[in-house]
Amino acid sequence: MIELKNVSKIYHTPNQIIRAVDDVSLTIKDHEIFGIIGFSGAGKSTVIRLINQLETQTSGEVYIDGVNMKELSLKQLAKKRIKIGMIFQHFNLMWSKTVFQNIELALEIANVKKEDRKEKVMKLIQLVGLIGKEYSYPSQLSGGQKQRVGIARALANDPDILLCDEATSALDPQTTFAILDLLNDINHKLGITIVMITHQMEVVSKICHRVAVMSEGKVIEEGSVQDIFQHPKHEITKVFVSSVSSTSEVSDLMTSLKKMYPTGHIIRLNFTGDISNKAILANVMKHTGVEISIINANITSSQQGPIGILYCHITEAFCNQLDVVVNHLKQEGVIVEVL
Amino acid sequence: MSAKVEQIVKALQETLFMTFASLLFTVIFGIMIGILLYITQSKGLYQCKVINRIVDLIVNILRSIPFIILMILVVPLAKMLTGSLLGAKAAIPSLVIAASPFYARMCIIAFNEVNKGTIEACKAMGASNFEIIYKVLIPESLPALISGVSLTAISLVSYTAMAGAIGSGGLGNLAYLYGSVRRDEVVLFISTILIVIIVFVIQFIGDYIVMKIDKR
Repeated sequence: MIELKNVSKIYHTPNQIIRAVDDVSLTIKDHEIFGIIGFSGAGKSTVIRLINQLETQTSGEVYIDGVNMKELSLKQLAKKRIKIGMIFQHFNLMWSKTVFQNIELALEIANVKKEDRKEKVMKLIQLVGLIGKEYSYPSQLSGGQKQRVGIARALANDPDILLCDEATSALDPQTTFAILDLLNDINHKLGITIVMITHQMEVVSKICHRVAVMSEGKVIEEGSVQDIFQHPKHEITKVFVSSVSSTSEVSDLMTSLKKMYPTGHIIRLNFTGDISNKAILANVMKHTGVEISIINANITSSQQGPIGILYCHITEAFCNQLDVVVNHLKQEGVIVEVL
Repeated sequence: MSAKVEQIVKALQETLFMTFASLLFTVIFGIMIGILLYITQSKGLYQCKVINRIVDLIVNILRSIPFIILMILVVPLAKMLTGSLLGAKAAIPSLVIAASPFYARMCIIAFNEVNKGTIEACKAMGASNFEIIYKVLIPESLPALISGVSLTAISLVSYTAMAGAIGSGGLGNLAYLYGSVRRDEVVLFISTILIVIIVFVIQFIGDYIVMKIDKR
């Protein structure tokens, strides 16, 4: 378990005091994938570096499995870091070493005997799907392959925690999903706790269990991915959530829909998890006899199943039955909003 | 004629000896000073402003003294270390003192070009500062360190020619004696051509090694 308790990081520059991290408290449970999302400059890079103490906090405490990280000596800290893997946006591989040697370095640092290293490295290369690339240099690899080397290196010493610093931000969408699949796999197979910072909501929705939203050094919202998607409270969270919907601005979508359907009612339905598999809309139409037309739809896949947002139109002829429809949908577990 | 050939061969040997013996010490001291400056600079592995400033000042002072003057200043030290005032051996201390700060500067440039992220990644893996220096910093800056060696070696060749003025021997001295004093153009030209060839060979070898090891 990773616990941050009232952690702050303050930088002093000649002209001003910067609160990069401002009184942040977070608890990350074992075996979960925890996302920290925020725009650049929100302080999320500093937060992730506080976990392995690449940055030291100005005040507050960082505990990993109950150990106060601040109290460790340099030697103890180095030993602890061996069990905390980290991957980076720009991979940070050594260009002068082959794929094999890059991964081996992590084992060398952990004082693993030379005889045991080869087998371990080959296992890792297999795990990340880079067989045949052992003796290539990083310059001969694509971005996705480089990140796979980074992942193999981070996993070399069987860590309990994997920190991902914008690990997919430098990759194209397809490669991003492949890397996310790999991380998800690793989380399932090895039970490693994964902490990832990102500015891409798709990343959070695809693999995270819980998420914290950061802005100006503070955590402004925290919860399960499902909750955050369904009930974003803070303006910034709403921006992130809407960034995943097909139209970037939800309000824009609303005005255009209202223009297209000046009469009748527009309702927004939120489907999540299991219920998105049932034929709810068809059932409601059959039971109530109301004709409902779908005018805009958007489905995002997430760890807890698909999250669907439907905009539906009910013509004036059925207006008196609106309440019946809404109640029926609510009974099925759909979140309904009449707009 | 054969006496002249003998003299040229001897001078060539002296030049090569002075260049490579002093190069060896220069590289050792230069890298040590370079690492010291790198780790003590702000945001370095062992940030220490005082040491950094002092070493930096010494390096700058030594770099600004013209070699011909430095040589004279170093004479007492050279005598103490080598037991002699004359000959190729006696020239080595002054050559090393002149070239080490030069090479240290190039080491700093090379080290600062190593990707900070790579160093951060190794810290995150649990590497000690010592491991970061010899497992990451040196291998990742090796091409620049090697080009620095060939540049320094070339500077040393021209320094050895000047060292002739304090009686170190070598091709520079020979060219000066025959060319300027005895007006023997043949020896002058041969000495010059030999120096040019030495420089070309050093440059060629340096470039070749850099090309071979640079996998970027």
